[in-house]
Amino acid sequence: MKKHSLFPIYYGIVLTAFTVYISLDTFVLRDAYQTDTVQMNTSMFENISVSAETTEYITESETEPTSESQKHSKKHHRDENADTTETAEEETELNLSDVSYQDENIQITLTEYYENNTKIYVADIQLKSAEYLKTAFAEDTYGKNITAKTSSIASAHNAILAINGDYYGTQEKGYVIRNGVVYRNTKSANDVLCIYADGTLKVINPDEYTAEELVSQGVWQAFSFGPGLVENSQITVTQNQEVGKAMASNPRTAIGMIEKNHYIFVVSDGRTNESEGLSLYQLAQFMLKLGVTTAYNLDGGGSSTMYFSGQVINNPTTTGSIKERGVSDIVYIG
Amino acid sequence: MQLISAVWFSFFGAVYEHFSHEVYSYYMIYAFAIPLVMGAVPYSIMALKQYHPDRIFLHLWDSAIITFTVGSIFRGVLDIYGTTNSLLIVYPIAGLILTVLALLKLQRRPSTSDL
Repeated sequence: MKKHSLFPIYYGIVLTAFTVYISLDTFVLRDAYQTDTVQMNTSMFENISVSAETTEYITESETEPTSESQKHSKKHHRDENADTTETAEEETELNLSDVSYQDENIQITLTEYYENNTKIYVADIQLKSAEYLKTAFAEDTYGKNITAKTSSIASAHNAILAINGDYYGTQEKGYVIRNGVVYRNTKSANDVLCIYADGTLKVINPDEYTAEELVSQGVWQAFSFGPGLVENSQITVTQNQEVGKAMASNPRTAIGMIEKNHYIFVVSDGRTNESEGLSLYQLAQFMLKLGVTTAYNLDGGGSSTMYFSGQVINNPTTTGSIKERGVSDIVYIG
Repeated sequence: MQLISAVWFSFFGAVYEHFSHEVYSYYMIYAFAIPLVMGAVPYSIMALKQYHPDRIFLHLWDSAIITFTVGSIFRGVLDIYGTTNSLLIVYPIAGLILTVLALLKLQRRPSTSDL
C-alpha cells in the first residue's frame, strides 16, 4: 500500500477522535468554574427602604389575579384539599395551601389556565423586597455540564416557588449575575433581563453596559436567554419570532413584572396530546393580558418546570415522556 | 461515493429533524449539499471530461468534504440542542486548509496520468 493512500485512514481517525472529544466536551465533561456559590451580595439593598405602600399591598391584596382580562380566561385552581408539606407548615405557620402562600414578606397565588390548547401555570408573586427573589445553581456550583432537576435545586434551598432559569451552562457567553454576584461578564447577542434591587425588571441590550456596571447600578439578577416579550406594556416580539432555531409551539417559561416587587412567573406545558405549547407571540399576548409591563422569555422546551410547595406543578417533557430534566439554574422565591 | 454520502446525510438530517420537536437547523438540513456540491457534481463533470485528478488531490479534497460535512452536522446537533462550543471553528478551518492544499496540488499537477 502506498504511503499516501493511508492518509484517509489516519485523517478519519483524527476527525472521529476530535468529534468524540467535542461531543463529550459539550454534553458530558463537567467543569466547575466556581463552587460554593451560595454567597449573596446584598449590599445593594442597604439603601433601599421597603415602602409602606408595598407592605400594605401585600397584606391587603386578594388571592385572585388582578388583571381584568383574566376573568375572561378559562382557569381552574388545583385541589385545595391536597396535602401540604409539614416542613413548610411548621416554618411559616401562615396561609399555605396548594394554591397560595403568604407570610409577612411574600405572597404567592397559583392559577392554572388553558389557552391556545395549552395548559399554562401562573404564579402571581408580591414581595416586600426583591431580595426574596433569588437564584441558585445546580449543586451550588457555577460551571459547565453541571445540572440538577429544578425540584432538587429548589428543595435544597427551601424554595417556596421555583422555575427553571436561563440554562446558562449551555452557552459560553452571556451575562450571568446571580444574587448580586457576577459569574460571567462576556456578553452575547441575546437580550439581558435585569432584576434590580429596587424591585423593577428591565430588558437591556448587553452592548449598553458591562456586567460589573449593571451590578453597580443595583442589578440583583441578570439572565441571558430571551428574547424580551413585553416592554413598556407593548409586545416586543413578532408573530413569527422564535428562540434560536425553535419553531412555533413549545413548553415555555417566562417572568414578568406588573409593578415593583410584583412579579408573574409563567410556565406552559407543550409537546403533549393535551398541550400544544405556545409560540413566543402567544406567550407575550398571554402575559400582557395578565397585566405585565415587562416580560422576558427564559429557557423552555424540556427545561420548563414550575415547582411550588414541594411539588412540580406542570408536566415537564423530556425525550417524549413526562419527566423533569436537569437544568443549570433556577429562579426561586424563598 | 459522494452521491451516496449526500443521500445518506439528507436522510440523516431528515430523521434528526423529525425527532427534534420542531427545532430546526439549516446546518443539519443542508449538510447533504456539501458532498453534493463539492463532490458529486465536480466529480461527475471531471468524469464527463475524462479528467482524472491525482490520488493526493482526491484524498485532500475528500477529507475537506467530510470535514465540512461532519462540522455542519455537529453544528446542527448543537443548534437543535440549544448550545454552543467554541471548538466548532476547528471544522471549517481544517476543511479550508485541506481545500487549499488540494487546489494547490491540482494546480501543480494538472496531469491525468497519476491514477
